[in-house]
Amino acid sequence: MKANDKNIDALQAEIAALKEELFESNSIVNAIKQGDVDALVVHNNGVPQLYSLETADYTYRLLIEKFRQGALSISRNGLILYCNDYFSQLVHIPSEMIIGTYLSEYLDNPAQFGQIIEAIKYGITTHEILFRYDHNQKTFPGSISLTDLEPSVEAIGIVITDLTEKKKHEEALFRHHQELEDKINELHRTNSNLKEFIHVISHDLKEPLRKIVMHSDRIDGSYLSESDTKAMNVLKVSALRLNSLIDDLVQYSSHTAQLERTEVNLVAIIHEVVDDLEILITDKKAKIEIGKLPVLKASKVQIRQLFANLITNAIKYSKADTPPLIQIVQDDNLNAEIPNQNTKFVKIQIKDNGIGMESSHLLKIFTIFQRLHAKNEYSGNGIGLAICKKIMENHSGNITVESTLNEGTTFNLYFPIL
Amino acid sequence: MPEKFNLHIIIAEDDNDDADVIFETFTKNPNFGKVSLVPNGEELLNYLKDAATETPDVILTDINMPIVDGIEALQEILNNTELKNIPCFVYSTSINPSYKEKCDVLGVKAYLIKPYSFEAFEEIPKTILRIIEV
Repeated sequence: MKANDKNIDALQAEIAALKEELFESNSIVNAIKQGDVDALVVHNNGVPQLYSLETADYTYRLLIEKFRQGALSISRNGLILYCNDYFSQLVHIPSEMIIGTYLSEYLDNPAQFGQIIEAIKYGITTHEILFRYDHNQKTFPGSISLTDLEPSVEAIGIVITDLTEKKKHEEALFRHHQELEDKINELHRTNSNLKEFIHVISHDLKEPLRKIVMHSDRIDGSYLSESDTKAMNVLKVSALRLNSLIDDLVQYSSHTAQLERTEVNLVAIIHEVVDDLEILITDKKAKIEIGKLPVLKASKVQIRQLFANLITNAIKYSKADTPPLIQIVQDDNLNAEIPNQNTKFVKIQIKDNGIGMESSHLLKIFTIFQRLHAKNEYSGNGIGLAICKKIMENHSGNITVESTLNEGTTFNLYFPIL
Repeated sequence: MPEKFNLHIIIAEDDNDDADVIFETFTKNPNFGKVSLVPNGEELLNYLKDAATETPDVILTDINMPIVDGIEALQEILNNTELKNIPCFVYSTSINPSYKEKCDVLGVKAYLIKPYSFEAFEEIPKTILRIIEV
């Protein structure tokens, strides 16, 4: 009997242990049912193994529910099985009234639904279409993206993005583009007006002037009184001066044009300029030193004009008793002046030992028809430096000047590296 | 100059004052036996195409003229097989480089700037002779 009792005790203990195991299993099952379990770790011969359940991917469900894009799942015929909060906000209808309706009802053109589903076959799963909202009152542009969830789930997942803002930006961009085009057209009109203006002054204005100059020469001066002769001379000189001003104005205006840019070897071009100015240079015993200079992408015609004007200018404003010395060099120390500009600009200097100017005059010299000296002292209309400035502007560069009275002047040219 | 030419020049000039001066200048030059004047490019073309008038040896034209300007007239002349061998010259007040370029392309012998003195006007027939002789 004792042995029987022992058996009963052992069995009862086994029952108790099994009951406990059953309770534990039941509570796990309950926890799973209630969604309290995200994952299970089961020890298999001392090795832990992770089991996570699809229905327990709460984080993902929450993400779909809350994220700021419309999310839907639909059956193949378009019946809405699920919709998130954001879609309901987009169409201004509570989600419980959306589920069970058809997606086509929310499209501005319901026939598009069939095309969208058909397109999945060909791998085309995103479209930009118009959606209706506010019970068919209004529409918004949106992008729809479809994911076929078969064979895992018999449904199609849909993400809808509201493109209203994007379209607004696109329209604003388009409008700006349009405005820009209008501005460009206006610029072209201004340019052609300018060309017409240049034509008028280069021809129509010069024609009568030329006749004044020519025919005033034909007047027989021997019959004129002394004061009449004097007056005639003033007329002639003034007409000639007006003519030279017109020539300069035409030249200045024609430098407004953007010309074709090619590789320009500065040393070579300056040698050409020096050859052209040979008579003037020999006459004034001028010495021109050309240092190591770069090759630039620029308009050859304008660069030649630029250096011709600067060299002529330096010779013209030289001291009476000192032969002019003109040095043209590249200044590599641009970084000290403007940091981090060495890679963006080339600085060329033209130094002379001429009469120099007072610092109060420095700003004026680049203005058209601005002269610092009396007409009879130095000839010219004061257009050379204005043209230099224009040429530098045409090349997106700049020209500056430093000068000390009675010591000399230095012009700095800044060319952007293209 | 070895011997005197007896050239016939036709000049297209719309400006009466300049026409007087240029006519006088060419008439004075012994190398030009006949000087014809027309007031614009259209008249110039009519003259050249008219079978009744004799074909001139030289053409000199202003650019800025009413109805048909000098460049338009030259375009027609220098593309006409019967006329293109007549040496053509242009003289203009305009210093606009684009005109000179157009003339060079067309095959104009020289682009002359209208002078500022009577002495310089007298150089025009001489320049034209020098160029034709070569």
